Amino acid sequence: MVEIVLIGFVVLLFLQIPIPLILGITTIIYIFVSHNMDLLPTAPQRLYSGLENFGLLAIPLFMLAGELMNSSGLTTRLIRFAKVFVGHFRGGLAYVNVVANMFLAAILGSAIAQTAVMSKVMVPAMEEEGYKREFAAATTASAALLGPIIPPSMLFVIYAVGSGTSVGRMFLAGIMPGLLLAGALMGLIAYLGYKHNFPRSKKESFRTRATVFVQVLPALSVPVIIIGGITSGVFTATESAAIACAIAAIAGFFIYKELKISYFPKILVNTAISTAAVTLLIAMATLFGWVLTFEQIPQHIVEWMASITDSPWVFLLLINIFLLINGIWMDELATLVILLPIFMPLVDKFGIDPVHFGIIVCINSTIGLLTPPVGAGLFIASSVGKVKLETLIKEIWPFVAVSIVVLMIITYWPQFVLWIPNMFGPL
Amino acid sequence: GNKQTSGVKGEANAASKNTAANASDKPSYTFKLTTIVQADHPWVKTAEKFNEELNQRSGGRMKLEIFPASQLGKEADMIQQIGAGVVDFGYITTAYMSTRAKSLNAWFMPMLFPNTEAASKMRGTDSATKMLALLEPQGIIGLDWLQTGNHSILMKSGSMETPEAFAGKKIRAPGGTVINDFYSALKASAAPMPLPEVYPALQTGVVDGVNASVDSAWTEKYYEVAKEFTLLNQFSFNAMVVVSKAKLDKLSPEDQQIVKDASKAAIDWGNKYVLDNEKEVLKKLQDGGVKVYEADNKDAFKSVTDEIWAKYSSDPLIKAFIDDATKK
Amino acid sequence: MNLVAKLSDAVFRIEKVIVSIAVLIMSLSLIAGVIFRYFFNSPLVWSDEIAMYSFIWISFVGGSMALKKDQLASVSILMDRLNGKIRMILLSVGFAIVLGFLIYFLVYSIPWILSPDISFQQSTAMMLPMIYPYLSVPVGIAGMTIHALDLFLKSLTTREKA
Ligand code: NA
Ligand code: NA
Repeated sequence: MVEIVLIGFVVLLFLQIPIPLILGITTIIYIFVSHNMDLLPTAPQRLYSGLENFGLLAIPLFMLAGELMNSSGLTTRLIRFAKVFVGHFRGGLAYVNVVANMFLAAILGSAIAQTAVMSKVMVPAMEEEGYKREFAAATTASAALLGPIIPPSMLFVIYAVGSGTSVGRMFLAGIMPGLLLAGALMGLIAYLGYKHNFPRSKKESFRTRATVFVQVLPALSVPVIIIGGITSGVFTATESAAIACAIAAIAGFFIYKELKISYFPKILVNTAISTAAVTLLIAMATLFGWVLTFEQIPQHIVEWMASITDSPWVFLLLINIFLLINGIWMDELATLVILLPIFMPLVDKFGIDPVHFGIIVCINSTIGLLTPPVGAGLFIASSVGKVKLETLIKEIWPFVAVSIVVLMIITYWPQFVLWIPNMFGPL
Repeated sequence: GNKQTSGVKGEANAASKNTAANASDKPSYTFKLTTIVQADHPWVKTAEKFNEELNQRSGGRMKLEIFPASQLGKEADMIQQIGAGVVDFGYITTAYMSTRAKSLNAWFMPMLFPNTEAASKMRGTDSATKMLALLEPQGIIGLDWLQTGNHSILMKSGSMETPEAFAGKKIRAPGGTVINDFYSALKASAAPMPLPEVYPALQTGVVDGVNASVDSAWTEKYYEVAKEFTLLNQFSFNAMVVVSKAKLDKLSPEDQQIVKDASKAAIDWGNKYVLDNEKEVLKKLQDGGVKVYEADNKDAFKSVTDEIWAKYSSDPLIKAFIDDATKK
Repeated sequence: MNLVAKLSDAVFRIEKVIVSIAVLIMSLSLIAGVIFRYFFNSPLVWSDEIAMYSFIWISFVGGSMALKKDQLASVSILMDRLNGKIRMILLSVGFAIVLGFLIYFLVYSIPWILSPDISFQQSTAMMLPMIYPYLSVPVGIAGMTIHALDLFLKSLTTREKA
């Protein structure tokens, strides 16, 4: 019975049918083969209620904040800011790429959005200074992994909602791993920079640095306000996303003065479509998970896993290997959303902190964006950066390797992840 | 009687063949029960008891699969699934049920019960029994009432023994018309907030306090960040124990009786468990440093509560319920 | 066929209006919620509910738009390696399956939305009849069905040209 559904799922996947709809179709197939026909009339209700969750509102709100910030000319200011501070080192523009991505990550919530925005700007800029185009695209795609790790993060929101964990705590837990990944990427660039004798830009005057810093302040205030607001009790994590939109709009209209009312129809429609691409997946996955639960499939998997090992460390290793392999061909969000109902009872069973586990699975599935043949990060960097996919893949593997090392550190050093959230108590 | 098995439990059929010869011609059932509470909640323990009772009273022909923690969906979904006969039983909160049948707001008349035990004694009364039939047109038969502890008021700081103490306070409370009426009459504001956000909101001061049962103050760890508990018993919370009409109608009269008896035995056990548990947990809270105020000066709130009771008494069933509750 | 394409485009224009309004309502009501609770110390009971129902409309109607604009996640690993007639046939089969599913689901969601069970339900805070948020499901699925029909027909004619 489960086999029919699995085979059906893979066949439909290869037909290039959108994953949310595949989930809906396999749900119907499963209802048929398991003779639970009475479930059908109640399916629309379940589809609806998969989204009736206040925490999910952070998704469109962070998307909207990102759209507003982009239309305000924020990205170019962030890059300029990074450039005047780290551009004069060897491999300077490569560092600029990572640092700008790090700051942009503190405003945007998704790696995909970030790859698209940064590839457009950074790849030509780096090429102009003498970098190979494919290296520039590889740096951008990997640095964009910071997007969903440094808060705010769409993935964290989805994980928190799906697992009943606090969004605020997930956000705080993302800070250290994000900084570690940024540091590791810069370490790799430093190594490659000396090996290949990368170019450097000239050092800027103090005066220029000060001006650029002041200009970028409104953008940098977003993460401060989000984290500060959540930890001080002014607003909840979801509301922080709404406040981020307000700041973005105010900065865009009154400080950068680049945002115009005429941009709004496009901003609103873009926000809705990119939101729905994520949330329709969540709704359909709820439907799918519901039918599986009805047949107690997750419970059987828990029993089976528990019979393999009783060590949480072995369990985490298996999960990591499974997710890395899965990430080779499957979308990271789809993976997370589909597997969460199966994972969470296991996390409980093995006594793992759900926040720690969340950080592991989110980072792991994000790395999947960079692994061929299916990696949205690769595709976007190659199409926006105008680099052939094959050459990009050759350049990307050292970055993937470094990311996997970071993943392992995070997996087996829970205190490192939980240090900041624990500092604020069990938020 | 293969067709009569619940769901697709071929294994249940096989099991029935293996049981005593005299039972072999009677159908076997694997029922499904659903509820929103987590697996360690007293309601789930009650459901486990129900499973035992079913098993025992049916000679092994009936068993129960339990789906806690909203595994099969939200309460709106549960009701639909039970109405359609896909799911057989539910412990559904009266808070949710009252959005479908207004008279159920009777349970939320503020300060109607001095303690959880008083609320649990409503089980046999005429008015409470009438309420069990309210959802029959929707394919849902009410069997019983299963209490959770009455809700009192847990604050970051301060006792709440007088109406004045409420003025200007932000208190997390589940949405609901009566609850909102009560807090606004006290000039406090009831902030609705999703459950995972309540702990951080208490800790950081987004809200000053929470409308909580003794049990949830402990299990949700609110006591770590809110230290003063005034036992106002302002609201009674419970579940309506429901069974699918479609499913019940398919059972033989004898099996219907087994189900009803097993449920009653389990709910007797569950209500007692809730009371015992409440005493135990209250002690744990006090040991954990929570200051507990036994609020017995409820006369202070009389003008507020009378007004709300009067407002809702236009519904005759609510009026009858208040009469049943106060005449003891 | 031309008619279906026109219909799909017209539906898309209506969907644009719906989601734009919903995004605005959602953000403004949440911001208002924070302001009223924090600065005026009087939480709005309706702000969270309004925001959530707007969000659900965004999801289902936006989902329909995402289908038309090919913005939903999919795996193109096999299709990218195929070309010519085989690719076109397989793509058409895919769209036909999607269309079949959507029609099937639509058929089940209409009796659901019209059932008395729905009319009993109200939201907790605003006492809003729940049919208004629930309506987003059949509306979104109906939009998807029209777009899927358009995509299916287009995939057929593309094959003939190939
Ligand atoms: Na981010
Ligand atoms: Na991949």
